[in-house]
Order: sequence, then C-alpha cells, then structure tokens
Amino acid sequence: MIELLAPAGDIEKAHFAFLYGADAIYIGGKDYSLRANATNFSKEDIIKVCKLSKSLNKKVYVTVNIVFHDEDLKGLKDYLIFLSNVKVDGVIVSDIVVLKLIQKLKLSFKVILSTQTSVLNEYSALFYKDLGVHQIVLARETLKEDIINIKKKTNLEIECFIHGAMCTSISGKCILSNYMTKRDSNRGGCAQICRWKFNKDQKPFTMTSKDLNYLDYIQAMIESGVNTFKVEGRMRSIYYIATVVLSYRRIIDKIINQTLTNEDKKYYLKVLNKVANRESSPQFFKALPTKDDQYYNLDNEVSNQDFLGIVLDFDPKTMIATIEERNLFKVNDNVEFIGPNIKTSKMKIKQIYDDKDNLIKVANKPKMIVKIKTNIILNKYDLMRKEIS
Amino acid sequence: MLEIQFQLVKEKRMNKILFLVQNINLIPKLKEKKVDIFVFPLSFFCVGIPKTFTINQITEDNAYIFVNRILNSKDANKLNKLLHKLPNNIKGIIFDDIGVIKMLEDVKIHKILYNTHFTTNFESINHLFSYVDDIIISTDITEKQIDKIILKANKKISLFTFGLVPAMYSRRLLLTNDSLHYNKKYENPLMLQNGKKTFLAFENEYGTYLYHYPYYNGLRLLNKKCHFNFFYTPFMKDNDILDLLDQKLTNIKWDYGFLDTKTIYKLKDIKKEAK
Repeated sequence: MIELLAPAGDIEKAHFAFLYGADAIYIGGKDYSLRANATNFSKEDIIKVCKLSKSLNKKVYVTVNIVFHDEDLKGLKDYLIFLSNVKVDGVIVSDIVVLKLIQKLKLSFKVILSTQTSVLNEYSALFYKDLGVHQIVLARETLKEDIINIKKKTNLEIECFIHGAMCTSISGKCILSNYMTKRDSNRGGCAQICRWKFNKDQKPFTMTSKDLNYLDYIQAMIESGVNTFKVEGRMRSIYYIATVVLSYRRIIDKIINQTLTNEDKKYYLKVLNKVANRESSPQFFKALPTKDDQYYNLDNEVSNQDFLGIVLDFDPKTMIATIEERNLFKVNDNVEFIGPNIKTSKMKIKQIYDDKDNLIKVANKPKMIVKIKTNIILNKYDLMRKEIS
Repeated sequence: MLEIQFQLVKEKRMNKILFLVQNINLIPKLKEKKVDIFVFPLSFFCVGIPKTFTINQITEDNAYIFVNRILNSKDANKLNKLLHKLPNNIKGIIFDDIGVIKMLEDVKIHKILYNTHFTTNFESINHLFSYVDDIIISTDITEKQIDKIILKANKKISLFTFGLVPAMYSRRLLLTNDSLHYNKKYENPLMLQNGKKTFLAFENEYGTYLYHYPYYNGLRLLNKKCHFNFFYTPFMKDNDILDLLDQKLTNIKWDYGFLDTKTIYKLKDIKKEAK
C-alpha cells in the first residue's frame, strides 16, 4: 500500500489535502507538536477532522513529537488517551517517554517514529521497533541503500519526506534557535537560524539548503520499500498543499498504472517549482548533496502570487463560476484551473462580475466574491491560478 | 566561588572525570591532574573533532572510545564489526546514535549514552537506563532542571561539565560548499558570527558540526551527585587545558550556557516572560 501523506495546519488545509488526493494527513495539537507556533488543532478540531477522515476513508496522524522537558510531561497521559478515544489512526513520536507510555497504556493506534530521531540505520530502527514502533519516518539524510537495508532488516513500514523545506541540520541535532532566540527547536520553536546570514560584516557565510523535491525518485523509492510519501509544510497555504498533493497524487497514480512519461515529469516539475518560494532539488536519496543543493541568495525568496482564487460554486447551465479571490486577477489574464476531478485546463478571462452582478475589470480585494464565465466544467473547491506556460 | 568549588572536587570528589583526548602526549600531565578516564574519538565514526584515533592508535589502559556520528547503514555495519573485536584496553564507549545500543547487546563494555539534546526529562532518562550503564544528559536545560533529574533518576546521571556544546550537526559539507560557491578561501574551523552570538564550525568528510562559542562552563556541577563529569575540549590549546584543570580560566572564554537560562516552548511564553 502506497500512502501519500500531506500536512494540515488547520481544518481548511485538512479538507483541501484530502480533496486533492492525500491518503492521510498529519496534524499537530495545541501541545506537544514541533510546530508550536502554528494554528494547530484544538481537541474539538481533532474530533472534527477524525470524523471527516473516516467519512472519506482516509487517515489522520497526530504529532506528539517534541523532546519533553520535565514540565511538559504533565497532561501527556490524558492527551494520549484522548487521541486513542477519538480514534486517530496514528501518533508521530520522538521521545522514548511517549513510546513507553503508549506501550504501558496499550493504546491501539499506529506508532510512527518522527524524523526527529534521525534514524539512518537498521540498528536504530530495530531499537525503536522493540519499543512498539510500526512505522519510521527516516532521517532526510537517508540514502537509497539505507532505505533498502532498513526495510530488509526490520520489515517496518517506511516513511520518507519527498517534498518541502529541509533542515540544514540532521533533525533533532540542532539547537541554534535555542542559542539565538531562546526558542527551543526540539519543542517546536525553531526560528530557522540556518536561513540566517553569518559573518555579514566580513565574507558572508550561508548554510541554507534548497527545498527537497523527490519527483524524479518516487518510482525508485517505491522499489526500495518506501510505503508512505510525506510532504512537508504544516504552515503552508491551501494552494501550496493542494498543488503539491495533486501533483504527487497524479505522479504516484501514473507510476502505479505504468503511464508516467517524461513529459509528465517535466510538467509537474514546472508546477512544483512555480508553487515554491525557494529553489528545490533532489537531495540525499541518490547521493550526498553538493554546493548546488544549497541556497545562497537568501534575500530573494519569492512570495508566490500565482494562486488567484477558489471556486465556491459552479452553475453548469450558465457555465458561471463563483470565485473567492486570493490574488489579483483581471480581464484578459490567462489562467488555469486545477482540481481533483478535472484535467488541468487553461482559459482567458473574458468577463468578471462582482457579487452584485456588476461588470468589473479587476478582482483586487482580498477574498472578494466574483463570478466569471468559463468554458470548462468546474467543481466546488477547484483552484484558479496563473497559467503555467 | 569557582576556585573553591573546583578545589573541593580535587580533594574530595566522588564523581569521575571523563576527558576527551586530542593530544596523546598530554595524557601524563592530565593524569597528574587526576583525570580518571581518557576518551578517544574514534576515526571514521566522529564529526566535529579535529584529531581522531584508530583502534590501533589507542594504547592507553582503560580507554574509552567516542562515537558521535549518526551512522548510515554501511558505516553502522562497520562499527558493529569493530565493536565485536575490541582490544582489551577498551573499557567503555560514549555514543550518540541510539542504534549503538543494539550493536552492543552482546558486547561487554561500559556503555555511556550521549544522545545530544534528547535527554531532557527524568522519565526518558530512567527508561534509557534500561539499556545503558550511564547517560550524559543534555546541556539544553537549566541547573534547576538538572537538579530535578538528579533527584528523580533511578541511577546517577552524568554531566557535560566543560567544553564546546554541539549546537548543530549537518551531514552537508557546509564549509566546503560555502567556500566553493563564494570562491573564497577554505577555512576549517571557521568562526561564525551573528549579532552577539558566535559558533565554531568544523567540517570533516562526514559532515559539519557547529559548536556554540564560548566554552560552556558547568564546573559548578562538579559538586552534584552524579557519576561522570565530561570534559569536551576539542579545540582548546594544551596550556589552556592544563590551566582549566588547575582552576585557572583567565585565558579561556566561557559562559554558563543554559544553566541559568530557560528556553522557550511557545512564543506566548516569551510574552508572558516580558510581562
């Protein structure tokens, strides 16, 4: 079973991740998650998202992956029992105290070892297998031969990151944030110090890695024994999540159906590059990264303006789509629509109407509701973006 | 205050001192200073340390080896083989990769876990004591938190007591890459500065380590009821090392790390602190 696992920072993102093809999502609760400053999910939200996932026959994994200080242990037991009671499908863990507690309480969800534990070899994997782990998120530094070895020697389910931001450090081995800002990186406070410039007054030193992009290696990863393909980015936008998830969904499906072509790869690479705000490259799976896998131009990270709107409604009789604007678009713009149930389709915007049916030339107010006539049959929650030429 | 504490240790100390060796010729003098155990960084299995030793180069009796790499499968297997044919003079091992525990299941050797940044609460430490003989706990916590762990741990813990604290470990060759990209002179080690903070970066073929600089001074922990005090001074000059063991810190830049400074879990905690 191949699983596409998407990040979800809130309920809306969870909804879009599922809709655009994720088999499962991972979320963080208000406590114990390594994105301590994200919106995250309240207990009520976790109940809601579990109901949503069950109704769609999909899965929800919850991160409980901080490295605990004594003061953080209070409430942990009750929280794990809560997660079990609301029937989350799995919990992502890094600290042995959580693993032991799950064993002691005999909780039945899947136990997934966080990448924070930096497992790169079968000995570490076996140590954690003995502690009840079912699945391991391998360190991002894992090479193909490591994956094959770990799978062969442990028979554990293997999860790997395939797309998104990379730490410069081996995960869990960095406390630069603690020193620079007092924010504890192993308790979700990482201030991304590896994206800062050092020695600015002399010869600048940078160490930022490019984002990860394993589009070219998915087939080889499947053959090496990877079960779960994980996209990074619980703090990313719905557009980013929808685009990345849909791209990998289609790539994985085409691999399974043996229909993936080089043209497909080129197209999805272009799509993935357009949605990102940093350059990306494949790193580690085939070979150790080089200087070309780092990002030096730190001042030029781009803010993506390609996402134009969400389809809120579509009338097939009139071919009118109701759109919630997310970035400025205007008459004569070339746009395209993506969605889980449509083929990516291009068109030129000919007319835009505001919510009072007045003809306007530009949609330029955040989240304004407009209507446009299309020549494409659309669905609710399809997304409109600038054309990718 | 510092001198009194350190003197007390020399005269009456219960704890043993583990000392990372860089210069073999310094060992006789370190013995005079009552260092108990010499720890040799093992070639091929260490990062962030300029001088490493092959097993054959370690001739000291009762020597300990030090392995701080997170190992890929190929090198983990090499280490596993090596651990199963250690010479008799190797009595112990200090290691970071948790997989070493599995390698050592049938090896009679003193096992000290130094799982950097991962031993920050007493319950985890107690669980880990089921697998190893000793644990050098993280330096990311305050003295108060250390005291609580000492109180609640099932066994005596060990403390990183003086030296360079690892702040980041990358598998990438960051100094090489930076030098190649900017076409500038390759310097290794390299001091990195941002604002008032300084890190010492050192690279070998297995990756790049960034240490917080100045040296972490936990000498006040020498009086705690613990098992080992670990001295880790990979870039310190021999004279400064001898001065350190003679209680003279005048030429050595140091701070107390996080001993008096609690790290923040959530941003809202910073706001609370500000109020």
